[in-house]
Amino acid sequence: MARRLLHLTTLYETARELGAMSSPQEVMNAFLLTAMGPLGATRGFVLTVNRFTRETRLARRGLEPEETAGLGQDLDGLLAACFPDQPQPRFGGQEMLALQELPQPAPAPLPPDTRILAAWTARGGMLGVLGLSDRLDGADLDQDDREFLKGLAGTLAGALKTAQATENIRRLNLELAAKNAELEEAAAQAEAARGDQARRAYQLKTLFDASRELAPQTDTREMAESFLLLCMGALSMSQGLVLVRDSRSGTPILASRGVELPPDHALAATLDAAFAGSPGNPIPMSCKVLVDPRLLAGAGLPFPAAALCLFAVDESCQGILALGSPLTGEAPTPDELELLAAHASSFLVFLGKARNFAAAQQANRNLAQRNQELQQLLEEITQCRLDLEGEKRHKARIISFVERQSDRVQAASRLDFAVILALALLLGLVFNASNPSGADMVPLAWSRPPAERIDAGWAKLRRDNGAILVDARPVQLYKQRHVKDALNLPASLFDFVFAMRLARLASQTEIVVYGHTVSRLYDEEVAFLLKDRGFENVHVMEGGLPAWMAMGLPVEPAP
Amino acid sequence: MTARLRTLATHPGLALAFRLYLGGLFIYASIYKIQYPAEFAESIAAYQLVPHFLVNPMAAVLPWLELICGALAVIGLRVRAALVVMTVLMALFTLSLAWVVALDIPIGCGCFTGQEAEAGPLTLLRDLAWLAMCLHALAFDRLLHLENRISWKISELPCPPA
Repeated sequence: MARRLLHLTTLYETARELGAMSSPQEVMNAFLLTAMGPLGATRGFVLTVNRFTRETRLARRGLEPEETAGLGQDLDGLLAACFPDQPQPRFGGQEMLALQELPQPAPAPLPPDTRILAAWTARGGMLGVLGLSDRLDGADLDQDDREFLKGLAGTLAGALKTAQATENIRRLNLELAAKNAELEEAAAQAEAARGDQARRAYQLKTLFDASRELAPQTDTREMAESFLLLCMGALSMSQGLVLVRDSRSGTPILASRGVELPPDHALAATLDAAFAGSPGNPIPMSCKVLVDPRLLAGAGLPFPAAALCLFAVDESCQGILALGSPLTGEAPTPDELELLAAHASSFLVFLGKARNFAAAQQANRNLAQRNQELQQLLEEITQCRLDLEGEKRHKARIISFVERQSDRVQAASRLDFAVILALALLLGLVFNASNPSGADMVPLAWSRPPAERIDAGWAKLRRDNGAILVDARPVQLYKQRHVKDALNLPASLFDFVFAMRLARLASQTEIVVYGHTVSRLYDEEVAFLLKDRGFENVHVMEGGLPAWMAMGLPVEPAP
Repeated sequence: MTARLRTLATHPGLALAFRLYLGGLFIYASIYKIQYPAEFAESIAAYQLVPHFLVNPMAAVLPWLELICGALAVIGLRVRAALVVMTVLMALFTLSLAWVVALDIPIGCGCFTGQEAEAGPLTLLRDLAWLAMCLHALAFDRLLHLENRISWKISELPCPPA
């Protein structure tokens, strides 16, 4: 009875003691002591294993570490040893409790001298094992002991659950605190980022404004003024100078504020000194900001500069921006310098654009001039062509004129005929005059007294009265037809025929001569010859043979 | 074939041959008549076409006209004018001959010398042939003209295309 009371008291105290504890390890250590005492065990261990996470907790008394080393390793062997009746115990829902006294030696992985073994399972795959050995009295467990152990095990399981829950809550709290800290840190970062963003936004707005101001400008000098004012405003400087040297246009661009300007040659020297003093000139379309006081002093600027920006559009166009005398009295911050660089880059872009614009304008002007020249050339060529066509027309006209003249030369002209006729006339007359057998040009009949003319009827009467009819025509004509019994006496045969037929006639013999043509006055000629021979009665029958025939007088041969 | 015949018939070479032949003919015909103008005057008078007061001057001048024209035709100077005169003369001769033949006037033609056979239809045909030669030369002759030397120079000028 006393033992039962002791057991119950122990159980109650154990429960109360364990309930106050929050750490499972503490619970296990306390429990092991509590359990060993009433049962008189000198050595023992408590082991909890999470089947899924393999999280192992161990509390031991009187056992060496190597004796309990295999407990956490061989879970299947442990389960087989704890629940020989149920090789696959269930871990969900129903909790199990097994209590057994083990034969010696105890099966692995338990320590070999484990005598009493209590095992239980709990929700969440939790396995708990209590092993005791070396009872002082060496007796077996009686019913009370068994109940006591079951109670103890149950108490331990409950306490462990409680402790586990407590520990979980504590862990969750810790995690929550860590999360809170992280959140606070993130909030701080977000705040910093917002500030950064606002600064960026300000810079971007400034840049945007600068771009808007610079974009429409095409005059590089005005651009330099605007750029200088922008940079001075952005960095709160009271002195500033922009100097751009453009070998393409030749004239340097200078803009300054709050500075006593040196003469031009000094500015050029300043630019050279600034670029020479900087380690490595800026590459085209880039800029470099210098704040090193030593370099700034070496640049030879006309005022103490706080920042110097070197920039270059290309090899032919370089420039500097010098800023000094900050209104705040402080050196420019990296942000401001960054903004300055951004402004300078922006200015570079617009400067390049303005230069290209100027170059394009120049090219346009050149093109316009070239066009003008070409137009002029075209007009000249057109004029030349017109002139040429005129020349061609003239040439064609001249050639056709010459050809016409040539044709005219070849063609027979009146002059030709006149010359030929005149020549023939001249030669003929001259030659005839000088020719012994030439013909008389003037008819002899005109220079002789005309013979007495009688008509054909009177002529017949004269013949009937013994007059001789003489036919003066040439022989052929006489032969063709003549007055019957007429004597043929052509002038060409006059002497011969006269001598034969008329020479012996008396000079008073009446002779009637007939026969003439349009071309020859044979009768007149023969009449003159007869008279010349002394015949006094020589007549010419007018009308000749046709008149004779017209009167029907006889002719030979008869028609 | 017809084209070839036409080309041959109108060939300037043929016209040149006719021109030279006629030129020689005229020269030959003129020689005797120049020497004996009185005799030629009788021949002219025989035709009974020329007034009596013109017969002798014509007999003195006409042979010279023949000689000059013949010489011009042969040497190629003022050929057109010479050919025109020769054609006119030949036409006159032919017409006169036709007149004589038509009227049956019994005379020699007097073409070359005073002593010739009586003119007849054959003489008329011969004269017609010569007249045709004159017309051919007048129409197609263009070779060996002395004036052409100038024309050749002109044709060497680069004429613009028409």
